[in-house]
Amino acid sequence: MSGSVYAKPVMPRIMLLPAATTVAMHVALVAALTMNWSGFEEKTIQVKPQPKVINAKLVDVESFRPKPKPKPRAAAPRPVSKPAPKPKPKPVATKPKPEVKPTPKPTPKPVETAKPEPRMTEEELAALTRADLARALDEEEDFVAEATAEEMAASYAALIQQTVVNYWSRPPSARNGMEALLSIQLIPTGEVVSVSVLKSSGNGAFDRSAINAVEKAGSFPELKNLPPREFERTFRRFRLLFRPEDLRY
Amino acid sequence: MKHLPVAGKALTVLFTAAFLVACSSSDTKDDEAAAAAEAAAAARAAEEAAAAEASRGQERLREAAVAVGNVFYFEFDSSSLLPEAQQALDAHIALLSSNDDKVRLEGHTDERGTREYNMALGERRANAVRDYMVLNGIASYRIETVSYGEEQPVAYGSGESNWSQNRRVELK
Amino acid sequence: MRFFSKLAAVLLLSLASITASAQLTIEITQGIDNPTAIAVVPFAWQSGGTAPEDIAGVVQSDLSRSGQFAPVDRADMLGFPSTQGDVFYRDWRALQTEYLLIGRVSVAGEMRIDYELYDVNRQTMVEGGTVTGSPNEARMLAHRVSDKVYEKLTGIPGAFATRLLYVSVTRNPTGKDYYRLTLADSDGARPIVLLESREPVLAPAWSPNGREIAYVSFETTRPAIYRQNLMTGAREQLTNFTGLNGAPAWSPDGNTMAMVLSKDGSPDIYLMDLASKRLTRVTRHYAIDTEPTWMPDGKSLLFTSDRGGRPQIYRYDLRTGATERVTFEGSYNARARVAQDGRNVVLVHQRSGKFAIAIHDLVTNRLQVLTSTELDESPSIAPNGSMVLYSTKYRDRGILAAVSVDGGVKFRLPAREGDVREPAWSPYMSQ
Repeated sequence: MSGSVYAKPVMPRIMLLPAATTVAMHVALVAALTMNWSGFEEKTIQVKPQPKVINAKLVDVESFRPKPKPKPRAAAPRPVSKPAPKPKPKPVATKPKPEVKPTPKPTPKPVETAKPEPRMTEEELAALTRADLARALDEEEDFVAEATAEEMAASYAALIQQTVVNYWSRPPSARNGMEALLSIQLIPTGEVVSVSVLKSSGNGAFDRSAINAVEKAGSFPELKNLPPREFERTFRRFRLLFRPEDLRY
Repeated sequence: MKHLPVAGKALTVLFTAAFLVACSSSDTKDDEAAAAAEAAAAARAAEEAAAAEASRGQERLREAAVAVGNVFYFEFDSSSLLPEAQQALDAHIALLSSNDDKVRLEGHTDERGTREYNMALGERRANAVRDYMVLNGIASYRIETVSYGEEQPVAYGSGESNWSQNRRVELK
Repeated sequence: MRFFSKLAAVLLLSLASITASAQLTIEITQGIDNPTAIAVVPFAWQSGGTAPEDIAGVVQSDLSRSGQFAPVDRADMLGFPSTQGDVFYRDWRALQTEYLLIGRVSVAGEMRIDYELYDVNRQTMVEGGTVTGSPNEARMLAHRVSDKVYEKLTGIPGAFATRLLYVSVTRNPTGKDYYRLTLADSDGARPIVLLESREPVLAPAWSPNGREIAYVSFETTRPAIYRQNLMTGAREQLTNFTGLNGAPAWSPDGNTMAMVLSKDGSPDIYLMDLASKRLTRVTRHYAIDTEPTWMPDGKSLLFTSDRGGRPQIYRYDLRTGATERVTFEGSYNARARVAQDGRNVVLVHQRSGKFAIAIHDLVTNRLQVLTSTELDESPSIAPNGSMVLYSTKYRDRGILAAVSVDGGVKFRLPAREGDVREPAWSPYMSQ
């Protein structure tokens, strides 16, 4: 059909960019809402002896393979995992991995392998190696930095925990299992700027003792050593759950 | 005297005999009195001797009882009479068998443990002494028992040398 | 473009808030339980002349003795505020005190105490109030302030405005000892002699309404149980049986007196109806059954019995008549007293030859030794269940001592002349 009386609305070019942005925002929003949030649940830290973390990195030839595109980094902050942070295995299941018969004996690695691809020649392999090694190492460093940041956050959380424990004086009416949930706000110097009760224990003296423990601590100056990104991510605002387990009953 | 009849002779003899007897009995009356007095005196003497003997006996018993003392000791947490205590009690029982006295037995404990339980323990000890006495013939109505528990020690310090002095029954 | 910028901003913010809900939560499951720092400022005296009593001093001693608080020294205080307007939180934060108590005292016929409690860190008033009463009872009024502050900060009612009974003995080396049944405040102040005798007096006990007491006296040369009204001093001799007459214990409803009599052969527990004086026999065993005490619901009794060989605690159910053994740890457990919660039982426990005060939990059946002294006896538990008063020996003299129910706080009461023994902590005093 042509020659309609009404002019066909034409999208002016100037509107394309904002429209694309809008769509992208919507996609991101939908993605954020529908993604698996289990990785973002509040993680709790308990006073348990931290097992020694051995940073054994398993290097293998796979990392020198060409990658189709850089894997998307999750935009949301990744909270600290419990109890001993181990280096997360690379999320490689999403990409197909060419199976290569390694000339150097590979060390076993818990990676799901995808369908095998045709073997590459050794020259091609060598050519790829140098270029990709750099990129792989970058990714590796980011990954290491990621793991180290998690460990760091865990150790700072443990420090906060130990400090508060040392200042917490439970009233005689406190009982095991009573719970008071406080919201704490810090500034990058480690100073506490806000303490509030998110969920009361039902016992005023108990709640007050929890608040007092934080007020007496006053600040956690070691947090000054946190990289700003880490501080913002985890320690600008966090929660303390006071739930005694060591009382007589 | 030839012309006296036989009867007369007999009477004379009789009267003479009587006279002689009378004379002699008036002596005997004194003698009798004396003898009675003597007998009475002897009887009294005998009585007194007996009494003296008896009281000397009691005296000996009392001395014996005093010698063994009126306090009987016990082991910790026990109400069994020790052999020494029994022997000492025997002396008291002997004395009591010879009189009508009433006695009061007071039971005591050392300071260890709780007060009211020690009251009961003290009573158990006093009862142990009482039972032994009753077994040996002293009527129970003559024996009163009271427990003072740890309230009245004779030795105030701590340690076995003090405690052993306080674990006792006193006979009063 | 501006519209879309705003839209973008809104979407970004919503993203941010979603990600912000993924927060770190740190669990705090232990504490160190150091005493809470509190500044008790001398209360302002607002009437003429000198103040009859140092109210703040009494409050400070009470809070300190409880072991829960570490009062600030008066010498360290920068000022003595008595009204809210005088409070400069900076001064008190500098002393690292968490709480501040101020007050005002006046007498116009009645004595009136106004007090306010402040949270120094959060700079808020936590509580304020007034107590009034006779000026002669100034110390008791101060104890009531302590009770209020204690309750606010610990969640447990205070037991400072309570009284004690105890027996004081003066040894007489040449004759008979003097025995004095004495009534005092819970801190030992204001002692009053209720009964003086040359024969032993023991086992003082409180009626549940705090108006009468009972005790055992040997004044007739034999033990007998007496009951006495505190206000009038009127006495009644309740028993005159042969053998033991001992360990009186009032039922929680005040109508029945449990006691120990041995008139029927061996020491047994009896119940006397106080109105009719009728006796009911509770135990019928040839062993020693003594030291009865009531559970707070009045439905069962705990008592000491050596029917198993050595003294242990047993429980008698009044409804079913059943008797069961309660303590199994150790070879000697006696003289139980039950806290108002019906769960904690303090008793005398022998361990390694030493007699200590221990606490037995009726729910978990666990026993915990509280004291480190050696010749302990006669524990008496505070009406709020927080402290245990008991008698012990110190340097060869009988003294009173106190220990908290968790064993963390211990102190000795100031020694008076002679030996002090047999403490009995009053119930809450009705106003």
